[in-house]
Amino acid sequence: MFNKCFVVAWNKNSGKDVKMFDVISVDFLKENDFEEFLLDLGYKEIFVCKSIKRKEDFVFSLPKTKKLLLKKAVLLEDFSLINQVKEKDLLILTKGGDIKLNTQSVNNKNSILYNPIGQELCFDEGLAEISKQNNKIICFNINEIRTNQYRSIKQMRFIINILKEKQVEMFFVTLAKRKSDLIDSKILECFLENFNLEKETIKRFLKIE
Amino acid sequence: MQKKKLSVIRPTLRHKKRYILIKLLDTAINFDSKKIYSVLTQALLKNSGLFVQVDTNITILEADVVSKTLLIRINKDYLNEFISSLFFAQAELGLLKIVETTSTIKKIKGDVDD
Repeated sequence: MFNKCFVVAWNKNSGKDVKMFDVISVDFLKENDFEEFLLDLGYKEIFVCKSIKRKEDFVFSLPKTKKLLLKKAVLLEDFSLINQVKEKDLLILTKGGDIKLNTQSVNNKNSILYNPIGQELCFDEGLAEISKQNNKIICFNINEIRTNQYRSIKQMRFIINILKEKQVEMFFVTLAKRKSDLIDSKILECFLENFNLEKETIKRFLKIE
Repeated sequence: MQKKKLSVIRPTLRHKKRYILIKLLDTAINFDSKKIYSVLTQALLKNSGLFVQVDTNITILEADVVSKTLLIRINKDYLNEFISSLFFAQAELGLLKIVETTSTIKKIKGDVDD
């Protein structure tokens, strides 16, 4: 599975040709001149994510680009769909948000837990410990702070703190649908310092050279 | 008439500055420097509080309507706080890109002229 290789590569901090890491929504590709825009922001490669609700949704293709490398990613709305994944070069994100989804995702070694933030706090030290044992990566959507400011900041500060303590890898994505959803890497780098993360750790999470 | 000697602040006591060149990538945004200043200060207030906002001393030195770039001067000690606050400023100013951060205005002026 691609994700196992991805996790190993991530942990070894390899792939130094990658200047910046991000996952955007497939809707972003509808924007005009998206390739030049992303290149201008410093991206050399980027994951394009499609939300998967049914088995049929797995079939999607990416447009050809000249300089920018587009890679496929899927966000599984239903955890049971993980057995339907057949493509190898696919970054699999599984939606978190409640205690059941977070536990299911953390126990599965082939997926990445996406946004473990819910109506209430649903990620604890136990889940962080399992994440460490399963060599998991936890993914946060940074744009969540814009929509649910108080709740997401509060929960993210708590979760990031325990993940940092347990030395679990994290990454921060925008899942941008429009150009305005993207964030400049320098701004994001400084913003993440609000979560008590060190500069070196942030650079590793964002894959900034 | 006797010349009055001006009191000069010693270099060690002066506030060190940083000059930041920011580009607004959203073409639909109204490029009004007063409004931008207000958004930047409000974002900094939200991110770091009133005391940091006052000490940062944000000054818009140049606002180029054509290239949609802003040349901003801030207090060096609060560089990270200011850049971090741009995350919130993006809600009103659209996507922002930090082109360059320098310690002297001469270094950045060349880029603005280009």
